[in-house]
Amino acid sequence: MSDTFATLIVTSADAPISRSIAAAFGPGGVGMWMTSLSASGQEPATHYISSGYISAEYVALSPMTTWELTEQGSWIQASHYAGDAATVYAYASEAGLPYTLAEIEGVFSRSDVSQQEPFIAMGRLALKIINPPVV
Amino acid sequence: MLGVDLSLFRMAKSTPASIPASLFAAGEKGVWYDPSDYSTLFQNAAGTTPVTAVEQPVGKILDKSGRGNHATQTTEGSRPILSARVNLLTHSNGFTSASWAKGANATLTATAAVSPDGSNNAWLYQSTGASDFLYNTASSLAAPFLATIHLKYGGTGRWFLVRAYGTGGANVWVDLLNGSVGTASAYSGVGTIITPTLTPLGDGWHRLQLGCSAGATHQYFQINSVTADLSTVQSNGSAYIYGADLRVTNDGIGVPAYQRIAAATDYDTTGFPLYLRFDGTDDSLATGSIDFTGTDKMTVSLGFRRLDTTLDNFVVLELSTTMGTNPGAFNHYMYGSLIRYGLGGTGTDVYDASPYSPPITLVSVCSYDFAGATIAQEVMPRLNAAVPTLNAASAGPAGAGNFGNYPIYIGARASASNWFKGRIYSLIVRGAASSGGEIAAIEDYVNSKTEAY
Repeated sequence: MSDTFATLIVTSADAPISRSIAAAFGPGGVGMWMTSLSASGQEPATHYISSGYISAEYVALSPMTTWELTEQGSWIQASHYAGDAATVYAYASEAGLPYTLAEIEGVFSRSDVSQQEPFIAMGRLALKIINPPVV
Repeated sequence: MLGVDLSLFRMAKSTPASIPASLFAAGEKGVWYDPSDYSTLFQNAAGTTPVTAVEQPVGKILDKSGRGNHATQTTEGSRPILSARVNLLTHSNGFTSASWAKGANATLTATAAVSPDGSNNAWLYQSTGASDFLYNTASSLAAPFLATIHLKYGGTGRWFLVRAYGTGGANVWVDLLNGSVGTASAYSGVGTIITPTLTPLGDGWHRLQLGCSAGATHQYFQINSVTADLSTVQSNGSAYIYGADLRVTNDGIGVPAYQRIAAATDYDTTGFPLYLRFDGTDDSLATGSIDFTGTDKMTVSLGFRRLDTTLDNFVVLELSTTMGTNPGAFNHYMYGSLIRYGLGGTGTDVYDASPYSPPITLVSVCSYDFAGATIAQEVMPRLNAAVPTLNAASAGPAGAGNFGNYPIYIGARASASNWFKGRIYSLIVRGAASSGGEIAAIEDYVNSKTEAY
């Protein structure tokens, strides 16, 4: 199965669980959600983002929302898939991770996953990347 | 090198085939990455799945210097994408696709005529009354932008109004029967107009180009038939239409005026330079540690396009995890409208080249030399084959010593932050100084991959 493009944004509180589960799917999942976001573009981070081509089987288990832009310039939800938390829970349990089904469902419900380009998705959520100074 | 007239070296430059390979002929350490060479690109970090087409991720790019310093990215979603995309329209010739809309009194007939490329893919657009517009619905782009469309007289109603507009924009009328174009005006009086051109292509076809250099945001690319006095936007006009293109005006010097786009992964790449696209959120590549401890000199060459819009702290390239704290390191990063060149030793040099606000494509060749006594002798950048305006943000000197034994990070700081949003067309890091002739040849080579000037 080929890769699928996705932009996945999770809350800061959900980032550790999300990282652990992604890493359990294989080496390609290690290192996701390392880019911090906030409304101001300054610490503390409120969200984390990963965006790019990801294994289609992983994206198929994730929540997914499609968005449409109105003539007034606002986003409306066109469709929503809640994700397959049960299958993810089964994989996570098999990998020895301690998370409950309810916890994974909670992460899914609070995440923002779409196929929008990352800066479009961040703009819709009014979030900015936190960029520390370069010395 | 500073102050030398490199134009003399261009007259007697090395043959193209010898650069960049000759830069490593004496065993110099370094890397040479060429995104235009498919044989060096792999979708996964293990290097077992080749890149076979544009819009595929690059998890590994092979080092052509012969030193084996391949760059990889193990995280799936953090891999840059191979691309050659310039035309930003979703469908360039799909006028009945979802990204185009037409009025109730506009009809479109496919495969109606031979198009300028010799295929039978031109459409016949016909107006039968009011509400005869045809426009693109998915093309938001701030100035500077250039819109292109191919038109041919369709037999009735010779006058057409073409608009590239949104918040401001450009309007122009064309007479397809005698092949003339009027004076463009700013839509709603907003926008700095680029003088439109109507270029004859033979067989009655014309290429119309219009746009704005500043002060407008493109949202719609629209045509209407119009009456001869240009007062009424509806007529019995008809025109053959083909091939629409919307791009940033400075995206590629000398590349074809039209790029066919059938789908996000199906578009024309001939004549368009290939590049690695970094998304500005989490994309990067990195090498293993490269032992540069045997040299105090470095030549770093990069063809890139910056697309960051928030204008602050984006790392394009860095030797070591943090130049400012690891002696024997360098970096290139963006800061506002500045391109910053850093060199870290016992002290730190930071040299600013300005102004280079995005979007902009540049060929950068920077010579570093720890043996120099001042920043001007330690950090010697050139941008688009010229010495830029330079200001020392941190005057150093960086101090004597050699470079270190560190990885090279591409597109981010330590693959962990300060993500670069833009494109990389070519990258060469040579652990040695380069002569004036070599620098001129490097600039020519990198620009052949980048089309920056």
